[in-house]
Amino acid sequence: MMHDSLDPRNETATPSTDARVPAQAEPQATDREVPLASRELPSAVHAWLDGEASADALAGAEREVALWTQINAETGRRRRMTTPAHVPVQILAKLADD
Amino acid sequence: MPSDETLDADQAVIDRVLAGDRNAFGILIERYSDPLYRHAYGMTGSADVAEDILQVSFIKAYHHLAEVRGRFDAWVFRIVANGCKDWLKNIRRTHLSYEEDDQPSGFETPEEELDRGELRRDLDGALGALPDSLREAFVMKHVEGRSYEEMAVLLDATVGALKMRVHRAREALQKLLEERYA
Repeated sequence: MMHDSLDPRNETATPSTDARVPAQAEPQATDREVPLASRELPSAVHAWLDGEASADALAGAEREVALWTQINAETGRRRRMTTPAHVPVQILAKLADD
Repeated sequence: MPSDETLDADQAVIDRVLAGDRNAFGILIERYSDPLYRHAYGMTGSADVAEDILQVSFIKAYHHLAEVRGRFDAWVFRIVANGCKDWLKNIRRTHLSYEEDDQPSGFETPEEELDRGELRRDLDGALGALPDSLREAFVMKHVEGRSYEEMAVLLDATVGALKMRVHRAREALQKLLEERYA
């Protein structure tokens, strides 16, 4: 039986088990077929979203704040998601069957 | 980020499992399944797929547990993250929709489940339009609530590179969602 090496230090790990991204090679949008449309956000908005600045510094960015307040509410809700109770049970049951 | 005590405790559990105490593996599942489930759900937009990825990943982790060097949480995260990326590659190949699944998703209360609205669907759709690396960074930062420093450890990338990915993801989401929600 062949086993993938899951040791993150193992340079011979197969691509499917090696998530490391070389720090110097920032990925471009090449894994999508369509170029990514975007709109530049004021640096104050990024700082606010990173928790590095208060909302007081966001005058003139009301449109962005309105959107990100809604997105933050949704992502905050997702942050409280828990694993369905049957999943750990099923995993242990499958291990017992092996 | 797990404390030094937690990491020591992880190693103690791993030693028990490797010594034949299979049920001790349940401790590791309980300790790490929630953040990993959130990651899988955030990456795939599907509760069913997230469950499958979690199951396959933990079973793989169990069978390769002797290979753990260093932090178990980082090691098992990489297994789950790769499972998500493999799924995304396959779903693009077969042209299935990122948003097809609308199964119960592990939100805390029935009210939260019922309250999932258009923003939830639109956000899933917008996340599905992002390159994997940007989506991964956004999900880790905004959904999982990880610090850039923790992300750097888990993804073996620099804080600066990860900030750039998160910023690019936000700007793409701004473009995709602002007409409807801003």
